[in-house]
Amino acid sequence: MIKKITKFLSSLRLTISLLIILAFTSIAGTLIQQQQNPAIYVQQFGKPLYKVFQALGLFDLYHSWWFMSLLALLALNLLFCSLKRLPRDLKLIFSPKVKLTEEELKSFSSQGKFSTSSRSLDQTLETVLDSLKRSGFSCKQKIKDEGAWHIFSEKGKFSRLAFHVTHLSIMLIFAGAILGAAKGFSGYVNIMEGSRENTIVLRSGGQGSKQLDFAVECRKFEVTYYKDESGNDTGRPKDYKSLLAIHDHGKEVLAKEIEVNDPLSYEGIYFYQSSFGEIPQLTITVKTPQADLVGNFAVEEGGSFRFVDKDNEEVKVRLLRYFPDFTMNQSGQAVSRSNTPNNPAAFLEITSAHGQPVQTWVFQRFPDFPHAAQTGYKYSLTSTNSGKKFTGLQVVWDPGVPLVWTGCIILVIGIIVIFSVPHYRIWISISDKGKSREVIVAGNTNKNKPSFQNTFSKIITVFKSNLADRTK
Amino acid sequence: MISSKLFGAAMIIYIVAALIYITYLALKSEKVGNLATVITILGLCVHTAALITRTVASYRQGIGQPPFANLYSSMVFFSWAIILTYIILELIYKQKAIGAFVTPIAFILLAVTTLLSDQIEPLVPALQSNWLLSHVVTCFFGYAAFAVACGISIMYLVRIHYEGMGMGNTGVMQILPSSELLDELAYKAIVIGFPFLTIGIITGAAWANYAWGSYWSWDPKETWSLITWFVYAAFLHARFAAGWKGRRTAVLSIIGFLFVLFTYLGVSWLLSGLHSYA
Repeated sequence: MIKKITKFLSSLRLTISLLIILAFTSIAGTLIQQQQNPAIYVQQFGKPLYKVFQALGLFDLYHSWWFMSLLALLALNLLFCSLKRLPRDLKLIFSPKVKLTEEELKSFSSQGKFSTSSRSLDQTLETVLDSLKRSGFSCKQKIKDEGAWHIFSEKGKFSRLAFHVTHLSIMLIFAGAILGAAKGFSGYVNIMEGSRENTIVLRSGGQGSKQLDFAVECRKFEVTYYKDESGNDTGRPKDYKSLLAIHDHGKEVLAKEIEVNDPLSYEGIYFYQSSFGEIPQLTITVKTPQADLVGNFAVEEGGSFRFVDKDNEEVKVRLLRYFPDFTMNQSGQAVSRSNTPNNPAAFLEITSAHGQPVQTWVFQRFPDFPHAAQTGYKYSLTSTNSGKKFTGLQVVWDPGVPLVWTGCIILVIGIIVIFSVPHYRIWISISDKGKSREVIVAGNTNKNKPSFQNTFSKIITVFKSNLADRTK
Repeated sequence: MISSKLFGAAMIIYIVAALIYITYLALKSEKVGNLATVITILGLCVHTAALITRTVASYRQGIGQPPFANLYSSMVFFSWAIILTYIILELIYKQKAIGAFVTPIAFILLAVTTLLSDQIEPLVPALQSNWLLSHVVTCFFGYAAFAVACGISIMYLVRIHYEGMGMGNTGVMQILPSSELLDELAYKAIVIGFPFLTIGIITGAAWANYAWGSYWSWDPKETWSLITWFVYAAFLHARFAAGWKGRRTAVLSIIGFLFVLFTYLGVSWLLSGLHSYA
């Protein structure tokens, strides 16, 4: 039973089947958008189909139990294949067979036979070793047995390990991915220019948050845009950069300007520039019914300000929403067409000491737009400044990454060696045949036969001219 | 742009080369074959000059990167890589007949680019990276080798079809490489393409990790390149370890190239993801 399982796990048929199955199942995950809101799927597929797909894990296919099992099976397959072959390959590398019988030598497809009568056995050996050297090979081992010399030479023996190294590298990549998923974290944080944060919002595993042991300050944020022919900003960002500083135990320990493709790292945690934005600063001007100025109040979306009215009572004004490019959509809802302040509009909530809160719109371009000014006071949006900028950072700690890169580098080297570095082996026997000495040369390769045949025929030529009897 | 005119010239040279290769198949004249090779190399030179001109133009525009960020750029490069890979194989193996199958592919790719905008567009910040060059070059050399392998596998199937009818040594078949050699050449091309694809995927992963902090996010392009990798890994295991040969591996090689085409074009057109700009 165990034998059967091992045989199955180490079979090449399993490897090829798994590769094909992985290829075809992976396609499904690119046809169905992954990790979307369930409501979107129900709308797309209908309730019954949604339930079937959900049960099959098709909405998060690459993390589903069966896809993971396929990858695990592939890893086992690689492991068992390697274990099956390793003893044989180690033997080939570390204890090659030096002495082959004459029959064995003659069974090789690449072989040659020479005889010399002008040399003694040991002189012949010397000539043979010299010929090997001239052909670019060197004698690895030689033994004298029953009055005959057996010589073994080889090249590229360690390429036999490439198979194992390549398979190991894929397991390293898997190990790195598992380590990263189990121990690492990934999240994001928005930091206002000039302030610091030490808590990030986690992406996976439920929307938790994580407190870092240090604080990150965004000292400065800058964005530049591509310009069109007339030198105006096109709105396509060319570059955005944040000058970050790390504060550990109240001390600044590191400062770096980061941009996309150039992150900052501290204690193995990487901070990537991923987005940016700004919180517009609005100025609301309040005037009395007699048009006397009460004040100019700076406020941002979600913020509020207060003033004292003529009855000496406090009025609170909250800026509920801000639309830089106000318009109405088809269903009559207020939306912003863009982030450019083409038609700035603010939605205010005014609460005076008496009565219900009143909500009203104010437009910068249309100051006379009638609003529900029950208080008699006149509100207007007098300026919109680009205001405070914030930088959006991706924060990642992935302890598996070094393993993954090690695996990748070994994988590439392994693949190249497997297909391009052959293991050439050459056996030579020198024996007494009556008055003359007989030399048999035989060789083989584990890959790239044509190129070996080329090399071998060159060896034969060298042997032929070197072993030719001088007297003849 | 000057470069577009040069690409146009290369395109015309390739169709001329294709016609000469076909004439070579018909006449079996060594002289015609040599002419085809010379014309193809001339096309490659013009094509190379076009790529250099376009790169210079990109730097002049202050983009600071070789132009590799849209379909036009990648297609002219793909076509160039196919011809270069083919010429190298032809010079090593002295098999000219394959040219009749490969030069038309390069011609078609360049012909398609005449329908696309040749503008060099400014790069979004994520693409402004030194990884761009190594990622694109390795991927497309991989694709090019697979394209050549696919061409050879088609020739193989055509050849064994005629051999099956007892016509292996008549007409054009005389000049086609033997079926054993075609089988071997397709395998060689895939052996060259596979490490390139592997490095292409890895440089992409390294770049993604550097830009976004995640080396793998199962984005459709990533996934399809991995699927293609699985298919060619299966091919190599079947051929190298299980000793598959002939029709079965030829079919796998052609299927593999269909996956390459989908990874390259299908994903960008039909599926959305991080590579939507390419």
